Formats: sequence, C-alpha cells, structure tokens
Amino acid sequence: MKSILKFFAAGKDQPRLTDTALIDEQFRYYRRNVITVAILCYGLGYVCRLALNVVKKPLMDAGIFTPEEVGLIGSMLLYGYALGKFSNGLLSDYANVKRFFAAGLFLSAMMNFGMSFSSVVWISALLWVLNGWFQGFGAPSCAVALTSWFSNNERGRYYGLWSTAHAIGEGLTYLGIALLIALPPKGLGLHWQYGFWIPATICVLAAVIVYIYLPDRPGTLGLPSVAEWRNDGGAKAKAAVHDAASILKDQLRVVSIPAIWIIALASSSMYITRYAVNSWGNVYLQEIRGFDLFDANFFIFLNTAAGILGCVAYGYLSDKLFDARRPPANLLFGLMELLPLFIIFYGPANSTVLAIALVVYGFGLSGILASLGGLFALDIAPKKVAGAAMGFIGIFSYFGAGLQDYISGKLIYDSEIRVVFDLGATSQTVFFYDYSVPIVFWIGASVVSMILAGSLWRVRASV
Amino acid sequence: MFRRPAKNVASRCTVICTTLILLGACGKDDGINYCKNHDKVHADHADTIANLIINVSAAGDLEGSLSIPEAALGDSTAEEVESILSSAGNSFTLQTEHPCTVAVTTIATSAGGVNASYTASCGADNKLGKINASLFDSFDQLDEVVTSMTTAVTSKRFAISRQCDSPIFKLDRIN
Repeated sequence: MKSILKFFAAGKDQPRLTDTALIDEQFRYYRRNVITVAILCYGLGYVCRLALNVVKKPLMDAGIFTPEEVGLIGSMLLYGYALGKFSNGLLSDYANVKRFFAAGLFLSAMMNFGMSFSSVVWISALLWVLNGWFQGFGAPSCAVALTSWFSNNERGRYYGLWSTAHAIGEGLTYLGIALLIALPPKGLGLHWQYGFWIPATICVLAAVIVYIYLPDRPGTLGLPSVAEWRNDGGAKAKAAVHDAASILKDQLRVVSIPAIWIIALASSSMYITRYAVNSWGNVYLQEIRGFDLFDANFFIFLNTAAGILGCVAYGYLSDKLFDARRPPANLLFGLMELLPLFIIFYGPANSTVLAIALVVYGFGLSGILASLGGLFALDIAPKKVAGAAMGFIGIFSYFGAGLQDYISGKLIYDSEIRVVFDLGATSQTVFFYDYSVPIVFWIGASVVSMILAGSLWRVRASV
Repeated sequence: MFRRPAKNVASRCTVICTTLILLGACGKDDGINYCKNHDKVHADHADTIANLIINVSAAGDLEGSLSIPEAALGDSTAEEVESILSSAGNSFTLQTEHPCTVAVTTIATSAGGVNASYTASCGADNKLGKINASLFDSFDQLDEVVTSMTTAVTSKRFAISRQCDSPIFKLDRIN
C-alpha cells in the first residue's frame, strides 16, 4: 500500500535551475504539453465514459440487458463519478498528476474491456461504478496541472480551452463509436463489443500519452512556480492567503446557505434532463422516431456541440447584458432549454426541425448548467470555499443524474411489449417501448429546475 | 537533460490512434452473408415469404393479418394451411394482465396464397406484455416471416428467418 501511495505521490522539489534561458525554454515546452495533453486526453477519456450510451440499443435489442438493467448500470457510472469527483479532488492535490490521470484512464479502459465480456447485471454495474470513479481522476488532475502551469491572469483562457475537451470526447463517441457500430452504408456494422473495445484502446493510448508527456509540478523539475516565472504578483499573494485560512470551518458554512441548497436541487433537476437526453435520447430516436443508430447519435452530438457556444454565451450575456445578475440569464437560457424539448419529443417528424431544436436545446442547457453548476453558486458562496460549494452541487447533480438513469430505464421497461418468435429450440425477440411517461419525467425535471432557479430571482452575488 | 523531442504530441497521437482504430475495425470481417447483408437479397425473395402485420391501439385493441404466399406453403395444401390458421393460437398468443377476446375474422385462399386476419380486444387498462408468435412451430416449411408491427407510439418492420440468430431490421437496400 505504501509503495502504491509513494508511486502516486507528487514528486519532491528539485534544486532550482538558475539558467533563465533554460527555464524559459522548459516552461514553454511543458506548458504546451500540458494544455495539449489536457485537452486531448481528457477528451479521449470521455469515450470510455460514454461508450455504454452508444451501445445501449444494441444491448437491448440483443436481449442482453433490459432497459431497466441498462438504466441501473448507467446510473452506477454517475454515482461513481459523483464520489470520484469529491474523493479524487482531495487526492489529486497530493498526487503526481501524470501518474494519477494516466492510472485513471488506464483503469477506465480496463473497465470498458470488462464490460464487453459481461452479460451479468451486477458485474456490469460493479465495473461501471468503478469506471465512474476512475473517470473522476481526470478533471481534478487537469485542474491541478492547469493551476500548476498557468498563472491566475491567464488561467481563464486556458481553462476555457480545456473546457472544450468534453466536446471532443462526446463528438468522438457519438460520431466515431456510432460509426463503428452502425450498420453499413453509414457505419462499419461491427459487433456491439467493439463499442467498448475501441474506447478502451483509445483510453489506453491516452494513458500512455499522459504518462509520457504530462509533467509533474514545475518545482519537481527544478523550475520556479508559474506565478514567479510570469511575475503574476496577485497569484502569489492569493496563494499565501489560501494557505493561512481555516478551510474546513469555512467549507462547513456552505451547507448553511439556503440558496446553495436550492441551486443544488435546481442543478440536480437540470442534470436529470441533461443525462436523460444524453443517455436515452439516441435510444428514443431509434426506437420511436425510427432513425438508425448513426443518425440518432449524430442528433445527440449536435446538442453537445452547441453546448460549447452555450457556455461561452451564457457567461458573456449574463455579464454584459444583465450586469452580472444570473437569474435573468437563467430564465433566458432555461427557456431556450425547455421549449425545444417540446419540439424534440412532441414536434413534427422532420429531421431539420429536430436538428434545430436539439441545437437550441444544447445551447440553452449548457448555459443554464454553467450557471447552476458553477457561476451562480460561485457568486453566492464565500469565495474562499468556492471549491466546496462546487463539490456540494456536483454531488447533488450527479446523484440526480444517476437516479434519472435508473428511473428512466425502469419506466421504459414497464412499457415493454415483447414479440417472441419461437423457432423450435431457439427464439427471436423484438422489443417495443413507449417513452411517453419518461418524457414527462424528463421535461418535468427541467420545469422544476427553472422554478427553483427562479425562486432565487432577488439573490445577488456575495462580495 | 530536461528536454524531450518537441515533435508535437498531437501528430503522433493521430497516427497511433488511426492505426489502432483501423486495426480494431479490421479485426472481424464476416463478408457478405445472408443474415448480415440481408438487404442485398431481400428484394429478390420478398414475394415468396410470409407477411405478418400487427397493429396495437392505445385502447388495447389488436388487429393482425397474416399472408402466406403459395411459394412459402411448401408441400402443404391451402386447405391444410387454412385449417391451422383457423385457430388463432396457432399463429400467436397474447400475454396480458387479464384475458383478451381473440377472434379469427377472415381466412381466404387466393391464387397468391392464404390470407388470415385476427382481432383481439384486451382493454385499455390491460397491459400487453408479450406476443408469442408461433408461426414457425405451426408451419415447418416456413423459412422467413416479415413482420410490420405498429403500436400507439412507434412501428417497426423486421424479418425473422430460421437461418439467422437474430431479427433482421435492415430489409431495404439503400442505393
């Protein structure tokens, strides 16, 4: 155990280099590596997180898992991720992030390999909860790497760049993996197991890249802190205040703020819709709307791609148009999220209309999530315990998302009609589902979220 | 001593990723076969296989029709087939919370083959869980059945073939 901890522990600081030119050169080289590896490998890691979503329908069609079972397994990842986000956030502060992140990717890959061979619900659920936890190694590792190699006055830009990584991963999954599984001529028509094998291979590769190219903290390479190197005085001063504070006491204060609880519940409700569409949307589009696997996943990709713009637009509009007041922007983006849902689920059977609705939905959803899952909470929470507020809301959000996956699966399964053809010793089954009740659940969650967020109309940012 | 070759990470990754994905994708090649590439052969034999149409309404009513072309009857005579179809249970049974009223509405033989139609009244609150299609048990000579089923919210068209392990959904060739 000790040797494992030692392996993952952050390296010791090396004697400081004195050659300024060499320091500059090293910083430039490693900073380029950090941002490239963080974006590329965090994005690639997403493929191992979302693989199940793409192969859900083939798994259900093959009769390997019922919707309820698939929902249960899917929910496990979200519970594992919620726990992982919390525990790994703490661990990553003490870790050599390249080893920590690489291990997370590698172990996540192994869980995907395992999933491809499992047809037993509890084994798949166990693999997927562990996958969720290992997936939780990525974000804190990248956050620590970005914090170590980019100083305060530039971190926003690089953090923004890194935030686009999830779109790379979602795009790769919803297009790339779908391409492998979808039937020809659109796809290669590979067996659903490839939907786990290829992501696993990608994640092993990403782990290797991380291990080779992501550096430990600057001090372990004999370099000064990035704030020192960039002469970012603010960052140095802030670090000093941070060290002196009694963090735990302040962190506990977060749970005594009623508005934080309301935001957590609102975020949790919005995560229900978010993960319902991301997890079941493609299955719904195939089952009810009759799209093929590739097209259905392409539609889901559209909403995630539009989300990149939604995040950026929310921040800009709420700052510039509403003078940093989040509630009016929440209402605007909430409506952009809610109204297209009616078109997606009850609108005309027209691909263009559906695509536009999904783009607007994705745009609105990302905006409102940027607020409920981050900005709005950061406005209200005491600034020095912003991390705790985010963690608190994160746990609620992913718990809601996980619960959603199981409830949705159960509701879909309850509507199942099986048509079984007996063929002597064997039989073949085709499944029919009704999504009417789950859709009410998904849209209802968004309505609840908007009402909760709206109840904070008069709340202003704390100083 | 600190410097690693700065050849960029992205280009190396792209090469390795592409290679691995292609290797993975090439790992299994079943070639053209009857089940996997059924769309390529289905149009050629569509006229000679049985068709089953099932409509399930939101009110819990079910309408079904079965047509077996002459070419699919094998050695059986039309009379023998009619006799089997005259009992709905030889075509399908329903699994519901409460029993349904099932009736054979028509059975007719024409030059093209034998046609039968059925109705079942189950009631709106009587959940239909399973339709057991026993056509392949009733007709040994039947090799394939194309089924079109519509429920209140969706419809699916697929073929069940004795030669394949799973239902075939891709029946129409896309040019």
